[in-house]
Amino acid sequence: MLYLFILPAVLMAPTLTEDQIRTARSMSPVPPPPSSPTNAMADDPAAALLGQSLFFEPGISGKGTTSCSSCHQPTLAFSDGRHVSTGAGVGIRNAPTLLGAAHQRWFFWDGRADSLWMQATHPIEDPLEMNAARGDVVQFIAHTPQLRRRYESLFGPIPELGALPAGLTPESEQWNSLTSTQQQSVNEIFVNLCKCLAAYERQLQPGDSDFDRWVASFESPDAGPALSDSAIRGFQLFTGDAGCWQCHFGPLLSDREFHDLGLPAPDGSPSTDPGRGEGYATLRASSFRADGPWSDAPESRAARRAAAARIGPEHWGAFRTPSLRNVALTAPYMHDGRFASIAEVLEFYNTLETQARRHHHAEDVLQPLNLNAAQLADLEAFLRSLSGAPPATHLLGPLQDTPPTAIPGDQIRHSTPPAATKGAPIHE
Amino acid sequence: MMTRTLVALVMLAALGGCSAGHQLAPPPGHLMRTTDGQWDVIVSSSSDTWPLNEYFDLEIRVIRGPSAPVEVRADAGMPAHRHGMNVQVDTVRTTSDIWLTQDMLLHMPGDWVLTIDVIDTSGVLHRATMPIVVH
Ligand code: HEC
Ligand code: HEC
Repeated sequence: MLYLFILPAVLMAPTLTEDQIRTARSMSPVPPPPSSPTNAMADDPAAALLGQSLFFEPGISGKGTTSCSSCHQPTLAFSDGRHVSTGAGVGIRNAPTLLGAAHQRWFFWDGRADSLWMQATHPIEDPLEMNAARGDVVQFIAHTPQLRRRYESLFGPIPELGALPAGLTPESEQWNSLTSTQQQSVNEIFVNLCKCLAAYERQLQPGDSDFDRWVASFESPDAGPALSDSAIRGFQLFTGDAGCWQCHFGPLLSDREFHDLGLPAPDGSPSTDPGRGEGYATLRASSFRADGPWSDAPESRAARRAAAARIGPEHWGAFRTPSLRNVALTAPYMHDGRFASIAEVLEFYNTLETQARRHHHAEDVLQPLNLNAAQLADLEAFLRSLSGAPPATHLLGPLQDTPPTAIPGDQIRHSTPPAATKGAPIHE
Repeated sequence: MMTRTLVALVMLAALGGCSAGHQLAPPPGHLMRTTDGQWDVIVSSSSDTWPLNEYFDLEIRVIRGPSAPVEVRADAGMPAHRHGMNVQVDTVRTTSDIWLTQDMLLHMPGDWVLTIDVIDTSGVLHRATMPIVVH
């Protein structure tokens, strides 16, 4: 019976209004990531190479078995396909794609980091993720010749630290047995490594998708339509009546800010994950924040914005709007991976039936959409048109000169050439 | 472009120039009057449109009122969605009648209301509001 719905829609080839054309252009192409003044290494190619080595290096984890790429797998658009991630333990959140992550203002679902380099300080020491101690990471670098060489060519000689006790973090008992110079050196090397990881991640841009080719075809119509009529109607719904565009806009289809969609706890009661409510407090308590002592530009606008963020009751239970670039490759969905498919996400937005009773401070944006099956299929076709070519092959695995111990779960299959970067960078 | 420059020049001439250091490009200022009719302010933005999800600065020039204001504040919100901005902004005085609000952020497209509060010498708050549409 479905064809009864679909048939009339197929007969009407979608035409675009001026507004829709303007909107489409505001979403494509993806510009280079905004500058990152708090990280002096952000755009240094040599730093990015060290970052790439570290990203695929399980040796920097506590047990030597987990690398960043265990949970951010190049074949899955740098996500991991699990509901919630498992490293040294089972986490509570879903691993987001890293393609385009450098465009965000706040990192993690709850925004507990305000720079990409600060973000990297978390997973390394998180007991559920890599469960390492910064002292051990520093020792590992000092004793791995290729990594040490790369590090020293960027930052100068690693100071003689002597034999550091194992498990050194500022929370550990042994930390106070270090001189303040030793503490400073350990922190500095740790931060430098994280800045290099960020430099690598900045190169992980979402590649050109059918959607981008379609928008580019507005300039050269003979290129032919790159999108199906269904996806074009989906674009019209997304940016029109379905209201998705209120939060998912711009080249990343993310407003880079936080909203509470009212996703319930598994038993249907309101969720107990405080999201942004707690993430902000964690961010401000950390010395790695963008306006803190380890920042390379503590006075910049990028650094000021955390101090200026307004956290209201509506942010309790709010999560950052994810980018929808490559969304078809990053199932399952939402901060806790609760929805297995795009169709399930759309079902939620369409009925809001499972939405938990909201607290009276919640913002009111979502309304049940009551779309029919054909319209939902159109929305899904649009979302699927956002899958792009992967980054250049040389970015998708460890560097050749640093063969790491083992990289479970990583088989590099992509061979598509790098997508050219286009568009003007955003400056903040 | 030409017209915009012209309008800008006329505005600048009419207003006697901008404060040094914070030269804000118009769009030609928006005149806002407090609801009690006592105060007029001209608000101009560092961006040529109300920018979607990009930081911008506001210059607020008090051009009419019964006395010099003690304090001026700017804010914005989306009444239909029951939320304000995701940033907390301070408005600082740059000259006797010019105030500057840095790092405003209208993070969603749609209908916003810009609010300018003028607080007078007896601590009374006078409010001017203006609907703005962010695309
Ligand atoms: C055990 C799995 C795991 C490991 C290992 C891991 N991550 Fe993640 N990553 C996650 C999860 C889960 C999240 C989301 C957590 C949250 O928001 O609370 C995340 C979030 C991120 C984000 C934020 C993206 C965004 O859009 O805000 C970045 C960037 C990132 N990880 C980079 C790294 C780097 C770099 C490493 C290695 C130093 C690493 N991750 C190691 C699972 C992992
Ligand atoms: C009020 C802002 C808002 C609106 C409107 C909105 N979204 Fe979202 N969207 C979010 C947030 C926030 C999340 C993450 C929520 C969470 O995990 O708790 C999200 C998550 C998603 C995801 C999952 C992505 C992932 O990687 O996990 C998809 C797909 C999605 N939205 C599509 C849509 C579509 C389609 C519409 C329109 C029908 C829409 N959104 C409307 C804010 C919004």
